Amino acid sequence: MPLFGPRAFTLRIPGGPTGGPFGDNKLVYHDEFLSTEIGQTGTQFDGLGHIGIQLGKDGDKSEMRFYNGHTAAEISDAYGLKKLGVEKLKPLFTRAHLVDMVALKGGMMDAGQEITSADIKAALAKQNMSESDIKPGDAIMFHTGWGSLWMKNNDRFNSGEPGIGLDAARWVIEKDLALTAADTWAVEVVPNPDKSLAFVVHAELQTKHGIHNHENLIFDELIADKKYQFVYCFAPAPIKGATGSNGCPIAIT
Amino acid sequence: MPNEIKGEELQGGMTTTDRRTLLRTAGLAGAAGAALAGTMHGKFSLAPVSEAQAQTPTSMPKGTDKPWWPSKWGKDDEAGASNHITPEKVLDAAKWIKDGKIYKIGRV
Repeated sequence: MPLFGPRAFTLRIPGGPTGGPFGDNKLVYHDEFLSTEIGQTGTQFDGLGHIGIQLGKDGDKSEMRFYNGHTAAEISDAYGLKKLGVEKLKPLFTRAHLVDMVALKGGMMDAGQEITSADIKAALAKQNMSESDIKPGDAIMFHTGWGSLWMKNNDRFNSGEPGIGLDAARWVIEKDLALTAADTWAVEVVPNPDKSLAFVVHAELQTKHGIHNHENLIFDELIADKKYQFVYCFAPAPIKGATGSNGCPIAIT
Repeated sequence: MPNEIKGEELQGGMTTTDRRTLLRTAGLAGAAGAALAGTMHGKFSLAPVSEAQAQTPTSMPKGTDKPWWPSKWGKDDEAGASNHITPEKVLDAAKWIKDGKIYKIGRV
């Protein structure tokens, strides 16, 4: 799968089978050993301890602030975050609205191409969905087409991506939503149109507003069935002190 | 024979020197690699670093003009927007289940 820089995903199943036979019933078994940034590879859900903002001097952990002002000095620990671990989140079961940007733009969006709040409104109208039907605590998801590069052209996939910018982020905050998601590795536009900003939507939504983010989703079947509204269901892996979670979110119609 | 031994000593000396040079070079390369790893790799490989490095201790970073805490869910909250998921919210969401069909929207 596409990975970023030195991130790793290595699965090994020793033995073949790993063990057995046990007992007179001759039971054999397989175990896997996995080495990875478990919350930050593949389909990944960002927890609230993932992204922070440095307000003080370089290296001053008491002014590296995360969600709710928690500081790196308080939460950072080599053996797992002491606060804001992904296990602290409540399982998510909420209404989700899927925005088909490919249909709106007439094809796959390109890296650095921003999804604006005007785009969201236009896409909703095209899909015969009412903006007023989006309620606090709902999820908004973006099909940009960029996911079609997955395992086809990983270098291009990783090189940047289309996504939401600060304008759409403000719309998400005004709507008081619980989650953003997309078929991309960051959900937000990379590079940002303002070249001096780095992953600023992550900081705006997650750090400042506690709004969750689910990356590298796939909507092809939903789009094929024209299912733009569904229940999104996901419980982050309960790993104490983890920055995010792998796992398979589901859409229920 | 003496020439051969001398040759071996010379060769050995060169090997030692080469190894020392290699270690020194490796050390420098390692340090450079570590520095690069901080800026060039990972999800944040496209992140400009000049802005952050140019910050003065008293200035807020671009895009931040005031503290964003305490959270509306309380000063000690660690659950963020997942707090939206109340029993009422779950029952409201469940109204959208009509077909009973489940789509896996995670990648393999």
